[in-house]
Amino acid sequence: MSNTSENPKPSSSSAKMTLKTSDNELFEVEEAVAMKFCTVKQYFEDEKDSDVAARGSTTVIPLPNVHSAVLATLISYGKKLPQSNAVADNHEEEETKKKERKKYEQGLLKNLMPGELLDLISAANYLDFKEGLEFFNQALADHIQNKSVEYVRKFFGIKNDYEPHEEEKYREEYAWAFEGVDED
Amino acid sequence: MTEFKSLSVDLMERILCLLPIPTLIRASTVCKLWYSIISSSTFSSSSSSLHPWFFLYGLHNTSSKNNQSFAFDPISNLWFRLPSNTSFSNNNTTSAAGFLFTTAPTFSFSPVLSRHISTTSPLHYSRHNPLLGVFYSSHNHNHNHNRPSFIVVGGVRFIGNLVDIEDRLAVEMYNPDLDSWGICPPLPSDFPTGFSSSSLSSALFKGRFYVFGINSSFVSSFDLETHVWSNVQTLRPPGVSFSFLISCKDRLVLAGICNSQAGSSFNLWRIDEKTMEFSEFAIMPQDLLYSLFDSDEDDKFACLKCVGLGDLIYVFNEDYHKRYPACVCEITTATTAQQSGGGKCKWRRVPQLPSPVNKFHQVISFCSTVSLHSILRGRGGDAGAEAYV
Repeated sequence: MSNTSENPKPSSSSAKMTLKTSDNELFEVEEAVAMKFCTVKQYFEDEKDSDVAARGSTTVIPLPNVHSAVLATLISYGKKLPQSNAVADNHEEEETKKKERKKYEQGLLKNLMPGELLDLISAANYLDFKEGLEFFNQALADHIQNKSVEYVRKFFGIKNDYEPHEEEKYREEYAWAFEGVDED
Repeated sequence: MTEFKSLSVDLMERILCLLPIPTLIRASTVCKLWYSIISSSTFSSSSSSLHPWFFLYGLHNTSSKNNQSFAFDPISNLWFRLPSNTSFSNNNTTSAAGFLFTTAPTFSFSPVLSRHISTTSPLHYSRHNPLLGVFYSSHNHNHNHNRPSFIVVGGVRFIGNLVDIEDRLAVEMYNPDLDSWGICPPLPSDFPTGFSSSSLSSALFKGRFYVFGINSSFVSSFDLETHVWSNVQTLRPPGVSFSFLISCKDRLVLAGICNSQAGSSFNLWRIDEKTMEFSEFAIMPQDLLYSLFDSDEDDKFACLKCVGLGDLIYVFNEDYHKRYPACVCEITTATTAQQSGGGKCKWRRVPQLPSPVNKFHQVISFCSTVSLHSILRGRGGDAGAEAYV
């Protein structure tokens, strides 16, 4: 629900779009949120150009690379972001909203399995969802910051291509950086 | 459930950029691809040069196996115990701008935390404990790697085992392309000769090398282009008992203890480099200041030392009793102030040093940016002979 809008746009903010995931689930999303997925935005604008009649809620945008559970989280995160067409809040309102968002973000991360972060990042990248990508990238960085090398390899499915003596040499040379790492 | 088994290299690199340096050093051993990404000269860790590390080297006069060295990373907020084979002693080790130097008997330097040591041709007057500045001359366009130039000011020479206090040693400036040292006028005589680093602080700022008396408050600056020393002035805001001059990202900062009727406080002033006018911009919270001491003696403040670089200023107590407590101030510039809703600087305690911490006769402290590239590739400057430790 928005206050009086200063610059009325041709598309109203309550228009909805339908996104279809890889597992054939349909998500009805407010246009303002869906537009944050730049891939969707691009698709929508292409569609608008090509066919004047087909617009808005009748268009179903296919996202064959995104699973429903992942999309649900990204949409939920997108809704919590400050909307680009909202009237600028005063400083106090902005501070309250910032705090609310931080609380929401902490709750979101707490309930996520670390493995899901990879899916979220890949999907956010595919959707070209800038804020989501930044947020989940940082969450993943925070998660692995103090983890052991073995954990990181397993997590990303990376094969160790160092010879044992090479790895030994580096570990010894930078031994000071290996102190205090989390137990696996 | 996921269609993606692993992340693309681009995405991986974006995530790696968010990690602090110690994590990245470990991450470089995950696989060879990660090593090449992380050690590349174009890899920019977001742990920027604005958040330099704080180094504490503790020296024991008689038993060097009790020497210890520690490094603090402000991004991960952790101390690291450095290997004890870093060879240094209080007589010949200095640090400036990301390098460690040995100035006598030969002149050599190595990037902080790297094992790569470069040696230059010798100084005309080798010396102990000089003030040192590092700069990159705009004239040296010959090589891809911009080699550092050095300025060496003051210091002492030994005659046998005695310090020669009569000599006012010439300033020497290093030209990396010619691998040679040039002689320049010495530090003005208002400044006493003697072990420089304990009574003088120095800062390189906007093409000038500033020398400042911690207790005397004398200041003079050397123009790196014209090789001329400015007149000696006194830079002492009212009430200051001792202070340090620090070169930060966008400003010259004076930091020190200020006494007033209300008591003592640790203040920061911004110094206008053209006029030497000072304006106070931060005061350490009183409870933080007092948390650095556990005695109530009158001269407890005398143990405070201060170093800084970029956006950070570290203040620590070089007395052993509380295991060298320290705090750090993050300076907010005009742009970041808008984001954080105010112009306040952020002060916080630095975590305790990891046990065990020995008792030292002397503590060398400095603030330095850490170059991941230098650590992983083992490169430094390439002057003269090179060696690995």
